[in-house]
Amino acid sequence: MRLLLTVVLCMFGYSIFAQHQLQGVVKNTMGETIANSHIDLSSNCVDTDPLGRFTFNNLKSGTYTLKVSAEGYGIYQEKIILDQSKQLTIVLEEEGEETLETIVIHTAQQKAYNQQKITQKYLQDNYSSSLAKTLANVVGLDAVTIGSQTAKPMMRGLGFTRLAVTENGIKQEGQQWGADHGLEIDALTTESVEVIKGVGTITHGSDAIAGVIEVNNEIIPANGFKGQYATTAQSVNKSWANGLNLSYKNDKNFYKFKTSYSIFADFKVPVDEITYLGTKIPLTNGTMVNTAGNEFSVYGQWGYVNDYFQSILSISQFQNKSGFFAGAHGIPSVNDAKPDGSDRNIGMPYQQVNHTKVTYHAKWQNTHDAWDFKLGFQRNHRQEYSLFHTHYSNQVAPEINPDLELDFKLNTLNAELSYKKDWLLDHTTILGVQSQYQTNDIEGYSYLMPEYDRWNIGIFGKHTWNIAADWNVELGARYDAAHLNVSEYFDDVLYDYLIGRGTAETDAQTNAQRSIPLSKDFSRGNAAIGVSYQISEGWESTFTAASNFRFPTAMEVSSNGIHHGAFRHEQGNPDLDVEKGWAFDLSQHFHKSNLKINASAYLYYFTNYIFLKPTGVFSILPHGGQVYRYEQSKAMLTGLEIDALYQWNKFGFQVQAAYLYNKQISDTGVDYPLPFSTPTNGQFSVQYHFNESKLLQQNQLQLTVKTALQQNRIAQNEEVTPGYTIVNVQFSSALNFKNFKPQIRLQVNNVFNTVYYHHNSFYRALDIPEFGRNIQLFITIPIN
Amino acid sequence: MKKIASLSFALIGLLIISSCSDDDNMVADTTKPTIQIITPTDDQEIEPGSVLNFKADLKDNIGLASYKIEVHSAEDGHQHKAKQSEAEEFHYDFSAEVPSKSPEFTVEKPINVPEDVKEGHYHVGITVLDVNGNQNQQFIEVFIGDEHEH
Repeated sequence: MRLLLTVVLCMFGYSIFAQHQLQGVVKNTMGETIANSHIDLSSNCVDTDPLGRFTFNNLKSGTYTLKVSAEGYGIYQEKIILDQSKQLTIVLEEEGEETLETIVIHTAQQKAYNQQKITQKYLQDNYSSSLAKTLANVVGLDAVTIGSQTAKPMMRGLGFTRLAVTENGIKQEGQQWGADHGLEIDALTTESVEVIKGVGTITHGSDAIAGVIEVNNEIIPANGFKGQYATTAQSVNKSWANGLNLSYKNDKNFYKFKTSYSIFADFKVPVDEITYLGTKIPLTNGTMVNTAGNEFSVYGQWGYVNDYFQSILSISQFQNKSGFFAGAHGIPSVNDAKPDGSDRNIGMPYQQVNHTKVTYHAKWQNTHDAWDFKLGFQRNHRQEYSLFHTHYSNQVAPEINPDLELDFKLNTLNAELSYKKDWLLDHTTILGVQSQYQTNDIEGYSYLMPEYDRWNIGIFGKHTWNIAADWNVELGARYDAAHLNVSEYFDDVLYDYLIGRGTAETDAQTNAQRSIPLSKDFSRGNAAIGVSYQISEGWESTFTAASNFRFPTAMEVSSNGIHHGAFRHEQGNPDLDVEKGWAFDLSQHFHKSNLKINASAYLYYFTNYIFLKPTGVFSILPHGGQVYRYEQSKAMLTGLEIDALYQWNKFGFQVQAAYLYNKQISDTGVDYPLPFSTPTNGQFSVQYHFNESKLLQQNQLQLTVKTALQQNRIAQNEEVTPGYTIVNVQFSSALNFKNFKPQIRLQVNNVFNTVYYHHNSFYRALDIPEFGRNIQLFITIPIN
Repeated sequence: MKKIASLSFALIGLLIISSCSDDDNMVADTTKPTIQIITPTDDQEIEPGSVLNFKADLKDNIGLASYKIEVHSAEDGHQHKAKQSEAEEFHYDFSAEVPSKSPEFTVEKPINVPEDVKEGHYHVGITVLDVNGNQNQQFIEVFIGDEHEH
């Protein structure tokens, strides 16, 4: 009897009780529900109701065997690891028919906010060099990129300190740094990601204005030994990346070991010449000289889990060393863009990043209440090396480490304790306290960011009320207090240089004062409400409204001088107030048979958005241009996102579109757009599922067309970015040699070698386009 | 139930309208001024003690505000170790307003290059601001010295 199907599960977020519920719906390949199918779950059994639904209640954590059978259909069997309540959609194949992999169909969500779950499979199927770039395929997300491997995520045109990324519940630090700095989490070894849009500040505090990207590497593995090796190579930068995920679980203890290593050469672009600051820089064979690099990560985890207690300790290290394109690092240089003999060497200038992290997470859970404790320490060490150079003729190279231009050592300690209580069946309350302590130490012959230490404490509460089966309300409140201490920095070299050039004493003083000593206190309370309503069987609507805040960073209040990456004179403003605003998000989730639609509309309104304002006054520093000063003004961002999936016979269709509009609202009536606005963009993809053969299974051909419109709504001194359309093609298949079942995927991106620009690329300002045609091979091998 | 649905769409509609209306008031100016450096030319050799005539055409869609001319070493530190014993590097900077915020302006500035200047490659550049704070920069590289041996 041939069977098969696909399962797609949409989990209920992170609510963990000792007792779980397993719900599901059984359908045929046409998407029609199947009544009276028989479901066995280990020693329990039920039949589906007239709508094809079934429910098992009061299940304990563990591994169950799920078997689904119905007249005229093949049998479906699967091992289910239950550590939280789950909803399943089971598709039974008509007897005698060939297998067909359906597209992901999320069941209606019961969370009162806009949330999306991303599995490891999705990350690997969409893998593109970095986690942020891989996630950029999710509608509403984008990445600020530099080079081929480094990227940081953006959501709805907000990024940096306005978007929180967490791993195992601990906020990832380092996002506050510039666009030439990426997210230090590896994509090949990431287990799952949850994207929460619109509301994040209640449980995450400052920095979660746009939303939260929650990376979860605490998935409890299956019993026994399980492993996976993934390897990928791509042509555009001759890269080779490897990821190994191993887990072992024996009764209550489990262990994980994950590691990845990638190496990449200089990448190529489909042009022979770029124009930067009026200088034409030829690129030999389109090669971006000195953009090669390598990346290494290692992850170890030990966990203990029983029905009442769970403890997980994780230790990880992430390293990246990558070169910067020297032809446009500062003043344009034709010489530095010439081939340097090897496309794999990392010459000056380059960056070296080391991110070390230890997280501990414990949970004590009873039937109706749970305690949750998280502790995290991370050290983010970033260095930029550049052959000693100076704009001040009196500056002499340091004796030790003469080419270390910038060095930041950011140490952060996080702790969080929360208590969750279920009142009756329909009320749940969470109360928590969160604390963070952070210090930043600096070195190097250039100066960019002040030394500082910051201490933050926040208390929060959240209450969920299931008013009725189809109504859900969530209320949240939070109060935060922070103390920021910024150290003074007086640049003696600059002072002497300016005096030597005949600059007036007061001007020399002001300019040499690179940071003023500051001791600032901030505090802020905020609130959120979310409502979800099940309009009909397949249609759910959620609405959230939340107040937002963000404490100004050390850079924003205290810096003064040329920002060497952005190449402009930036001046902090000690009088900045807490950035405050409101966020509204309205989402519709609709699914019927083989059609699924998610659509969201959002609005962010800031009463005092912090931005860099061009002053129109020249800096007296060499290469300075005008002075930019941090100021605040009203601002708004709004947009729409839609993601629709449809399955028709052996075809799967997906349409995504995102529209974003934003502006400052100034008192003068002249409203400039905000920087880093993702242009209106969309993608359309078609999948075709081929018949299976003995050797090749789950064969699938996919064609994707990606489009972005011209972005002419730019902040001052950004570049207008033209629109583009590119085509990607991929074929994937699972090989079947008895016990050896590797999955292969061959992909060609930008098939027509189109020259196009990514508006949010760091290299955009340098007139450097995105990759041309790129062939990528991706292989995953399960190890059992 | 229907109310919620229609309310949802009303809200979405509202967002669309609010985002498309009052587009840009026509005054947000993000167009940068343009620069065309006429003299010196790229890789031009300039003798110490001579006059470097800097000339550039500036244009903007609304009006030019100010400009800054700079000359500084382009040696990028490669020879910095022995630097103290050598002649002084040449530095020049000059900034001025554009008369009557004109949208077109030709900068002409004679720069005296001292006799005893350190030989080498120099950047000659100009930074221009328009009346709304839009900025553009252009740099070219020249050689100051008697003999050019590269």
